[in-house]
This record gives sequence, C-alpha cells and structure tokens, in this order.
Amino acid sequence: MSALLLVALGLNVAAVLVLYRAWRAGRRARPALAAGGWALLALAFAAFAAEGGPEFAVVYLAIATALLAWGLVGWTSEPRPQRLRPTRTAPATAEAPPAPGRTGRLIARVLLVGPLAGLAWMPLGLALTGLLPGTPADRLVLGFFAVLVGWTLMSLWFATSARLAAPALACAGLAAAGTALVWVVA
Amino acid sequence: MNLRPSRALVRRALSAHSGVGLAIGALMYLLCLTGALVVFFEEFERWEQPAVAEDASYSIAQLDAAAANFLAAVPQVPETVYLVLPSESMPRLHVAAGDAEWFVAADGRLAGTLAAAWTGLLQALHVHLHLPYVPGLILVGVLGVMLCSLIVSGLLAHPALIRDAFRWRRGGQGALGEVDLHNRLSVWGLPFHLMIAVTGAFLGLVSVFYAGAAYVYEAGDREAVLAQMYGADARVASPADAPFDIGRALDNLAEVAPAAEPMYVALQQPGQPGQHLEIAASLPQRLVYSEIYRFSPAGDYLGDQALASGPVGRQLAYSVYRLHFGHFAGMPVKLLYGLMGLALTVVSASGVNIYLAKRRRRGLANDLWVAVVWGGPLALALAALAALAGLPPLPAFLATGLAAALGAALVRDVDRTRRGLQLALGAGLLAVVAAHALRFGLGAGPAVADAINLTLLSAALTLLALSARRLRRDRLSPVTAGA
Repeated sequence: MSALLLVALGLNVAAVLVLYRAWRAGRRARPALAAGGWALLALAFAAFAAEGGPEFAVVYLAIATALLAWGLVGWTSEPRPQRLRPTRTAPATAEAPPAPGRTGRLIARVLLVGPLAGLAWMPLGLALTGLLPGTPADRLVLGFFAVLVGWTLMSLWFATSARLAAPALACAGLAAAGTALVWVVA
Repeated sequence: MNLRPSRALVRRALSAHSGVGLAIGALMYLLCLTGALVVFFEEFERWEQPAVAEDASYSIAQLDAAAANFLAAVPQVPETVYLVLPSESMPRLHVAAGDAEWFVAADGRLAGTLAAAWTGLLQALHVHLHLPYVPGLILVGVLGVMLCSLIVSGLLAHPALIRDAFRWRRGGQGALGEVDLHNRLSVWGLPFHLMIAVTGAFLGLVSVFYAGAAYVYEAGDREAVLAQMYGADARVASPADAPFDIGRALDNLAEVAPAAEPMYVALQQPGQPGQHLEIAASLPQRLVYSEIYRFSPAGDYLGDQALASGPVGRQLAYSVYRLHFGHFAGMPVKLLYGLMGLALTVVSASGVNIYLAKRRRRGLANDLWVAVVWGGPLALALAALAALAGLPPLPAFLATGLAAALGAALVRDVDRTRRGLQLALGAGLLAVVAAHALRFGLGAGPAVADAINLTLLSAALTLLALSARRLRRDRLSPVTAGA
C-alpha cells in the first residue's frame, strides 16, 4: 500500500469521524464540524485521485466512506432490550400498516407503469440523439442517459401519484412528441 | 427556502418505494446476491478447476503454438481467435473463439477445456436471470432502472436523513432495528449503489437503444451504430497466407504504449485476406475497459481504436464495464465490491421484511419471502454441489428453489422455515467444501481455491451457530417478523 493511499484513507477516516462528531454536536457547533467533515472528504478525494486517477477516486471515496460510516454505525449502535411478547401479532412501526389489498394494487401499478415510462422515453431519447450537438458517440450516450434519467423520474412520478391520469397523459404526450420528433429528425 | 419534502410527498414516496420494492423484490434480491458473488467469477472458475496449471508468465513461442494448435483443432476457422493472456486474477493462458475455449500448456499444447458450470450458472443468473439471453438482459436492465427509482424514492421517503445518519437501534423486538439497518446501509451506500444501478441499466438496455438508433438513423444497420459508438473494424490490406508475428506486435506495443498492460491478443480473420492482429490492453489510471491496438500480420503498428482517446461518449460507454464489475486494482477492490454487493443484498431483503412486518396479518407472502431469502443461497449451494458431482447445476438450482417455496407454503411458520433453511444452507455449504476436498484434494490447487473453501466453511459454521442461537432465543420469544 502506497503512502499516498494511506494518506487518502487517513483523510477519509478523519472525515467520517468529524461528520460523526457533527452529528453528535449541539446546534451551534454542528455547521462548522459538518463543513470540516466535507472539506476532509474533498481532500480525501484529491489524495485518492493523486494515487489512482480521478476516475477511480470517485469509486474509492464512495466505497471507503460507506464502509467507514457503516463501521461507525455498528460500533455506536444502541442495543435495545429483548422482551417477550405474548401474541403472534406483527411488530409495530412508526407508519400505519398497509391496508388489505393495497400490496397487490401497488405491485400491479409498478408492473404496469414501469415499462410504460420506458416506452415513452425511448423515442424521445432517440430524437435527442439526432438533435444534440457533438460526435455520434457523444450523442448516442447522452440520448441513452436521457432515457435512463427520464424513465427513472417518470416511473417515480407514476408511483407517487394518487391518480394515474396526469402521468399517463404526460407519458402518452411524451411518446407522441418523441415519435414525431424522431420522424422529423430522421 | 424550505427544502424539506412535505408530509404528503414523504408518504407518497414511501408508498412508491414500497410498491417498486415489492414488485421487483425477489428478482432484485437474486440479482444483488449473484452480483456480489459474480465479482469473483475468475476465482470461482479456478476453484471449479483447481487442477489446471497456473503460470503468470507466457512466451511468444507458447502463443504461436497455441494459436496454431487451436486453428488445427477447430472444425471451421473462426472469424477471430482470442489468446487471453495470464493475469493476476486468472493466471491461466487460454485460447478461445465462440464457444470453444482451451487452456494452454507451457509448450503451447491445448490442455483441457473450460469446465466451470456453476460459475456459468452464476453469471447467467446475474446477466440475464437464466432466461433467453436478449429478453433476460433487457429485464435485468429494466431492474437497473427500477433500482434507480428505488434509490430516489427511498431518499424522498427519508426526511430524517441527517437526524438519523449514524443511528442504529439494534436488537429488541419489532422492525425498528431492521428499519435503521436498511436506512443506514442505503444512505451511506447510496453513491455506490446508484453507480451500480445506472451502469447495470446501461449494460442491460444499451443494445435496445442501439437497435432503435440503427432503425431510425442507419436503415437498420446496427454495425454502423456500433462503429460510431466504439470505432469501426480495421480494414487491412494483407494477404491470406502472411504468418502472424505476435512477438513483434507485442514489442511494438511496448514502444508505442509503454504503460499499456496487454490483456489479450486477437487474430482477426486468420487465413483470410485482410487478416491482422489486435492487442487489447488496460491503461493505468483509466476506467476504460481497454484500448485496442491494431497491427499487420507482420506486427507493424497500424493505430488504435480510440476507445481511451476518442469522443467522451465512447470513453464513458467503455468505462461502464469496469465500474460495474469492480475489475480494477486487483483483489482488494474485488473484496470491497463483494462487500458493497452484500450490503445491497441485505438492503433488498430488509426492505421487504420491513413492509411485511408492517402488515397486521401474516400471509403466504411472509412464508414465500423467507423461502426466497434463504432458499436462494441454498439453491446456489446445492447447484455448486451438483456441479462438483459432474451434474448440470441448473436443475439443482431450480429444484431447490421450488422445494424451498413449497416447503415454506406447507409449513406456514416463518420461524421454522427460516431456521430449517438456514440449517440446510449451513449443511449445504459444508457439503460443498467436503465434495470439493473429496474430488480435488485439500490444498492441491491454487491458494484461491483454499481461500474459497475456508470462506465457505466459515460461512457454514457461522450459519449453524446462528441457527442454534436463534433456536434457543425463539424458545424464549417465539415471534419474529422478517426473513
């Protein structure tokens, strides 16, 4: 292990510890500590980048930060006492339990609207590929990432809407607009 | 400006998070579990064939002889012959074309074929869920998009993100400990898990997009789109009978790209006019899978495919592979990817556990979910046992999965089912280690095979110990909720 990697890991450890201190601190000390934690994370990224290049540094930072934070979460976890429960009822949580039949409806909605959202975005992504500036490779990648982002957000909108009408209409409109654009561009 | 999401949005986001999670929970769990394992596919291949000789070095004479022997052995001369060079993670020179793949002995003889049926099952499950390839791959890509959606909805559904950043109230009764664990693993793992989700969606769905682009812009010519994306195939004016000088090509590569580390040599169109050599090599500090350097049959350098230096879009698209597979910087990064993958597997399982725990009643879903969570690894273990016995692993995998589900549906007792499956998994893993030792002997193969056996043994003993402890605990407190 190189000295630079050790420095990067040390900075990462320090960053997570300072963020933990910020989380534990009172309201007055929290902003300064949090800023310090983020600054140390930035320094850790710079050290990882100097060691393995900026492309790998993002991955190293993401993994190291997660593992360090999980370690700290486990280390400082609060054990709760075991106690016997007399009945075979399911345990309670803060949220209200789902109504009977809701599970099936939720699943059906996702299975229906997930693919629909993708189908709506695909023509638009293809149209963008023809319209965007840059080399063909850049345009293909941008068009495809637009599909992925749009699909994710559209399916989320579908899933969070109380009524399906608005997102369904938007979906149909998007598909129609995308297809028309593709026809014009091609 | 108040950035805190409204109560209604949080409630709807939680509902969406539950809906997506429940709809894809079982498949997502299987994908995460196999993904965490498949990071080590090279190590598993070596474990399945520990008797194959290993050598991190190779000679030009060995490559020449391997290519000649391979071309003499195959019934029809293939379009491309790949000489895959030994590496740290796979120190076995092998030669391949299409489905044919042989290991190469030190003198260039073909020394046995690849026979890693269980690793193949693991890869097929992760890449296309063992469905027909194209629809399976697309389905996995869609699951990648759904995972992105889960991550975003989870973020929106968690207004106490900062307040609970380091909190885990573990143990005790109820789902609170599991909720905390689910949220802490999700929040801190978010950047990595989002990266895996996006790259997984990319790998699964990009071929559909290319097909669409080909239909719209290139009159259905998919090759034209691929050429725009990854660079066109080389056109070389060379006679059909010119011999390949692999040694000269490697020497020339060392001159034009001294930092490049060759991964494989491809003999393109051997024995045909236009035949030429390509050498794929990884580059230091670059995520792109490789650069491809082209040479005439005589080994003269012709140029590269500009995978690492071409348009940004091309570099980005070609970087997705290493980013998703974790195949860079050797074993430490593989281990980290494996850990992060296991964390995502726990997140998948605990998410459904939490939902089931919130329901007032227990139904068949509770039982079947336990069968998925513990029956899945058991099915993989028994598939490995079948493969070690020389049987096809897929029937063993499917039969075990089905038996676990049927057993859970018949027993209708979550705790008993879980305990039974955990015990069976522990015993199954022990059996796998024993079968491997019986078939290949102890310590006979590479160190990595022993390391895998030790890991399996530790996992088996841990599971058996946990099962015993849980049995004692459940006698005191008979109710738990999740899988």
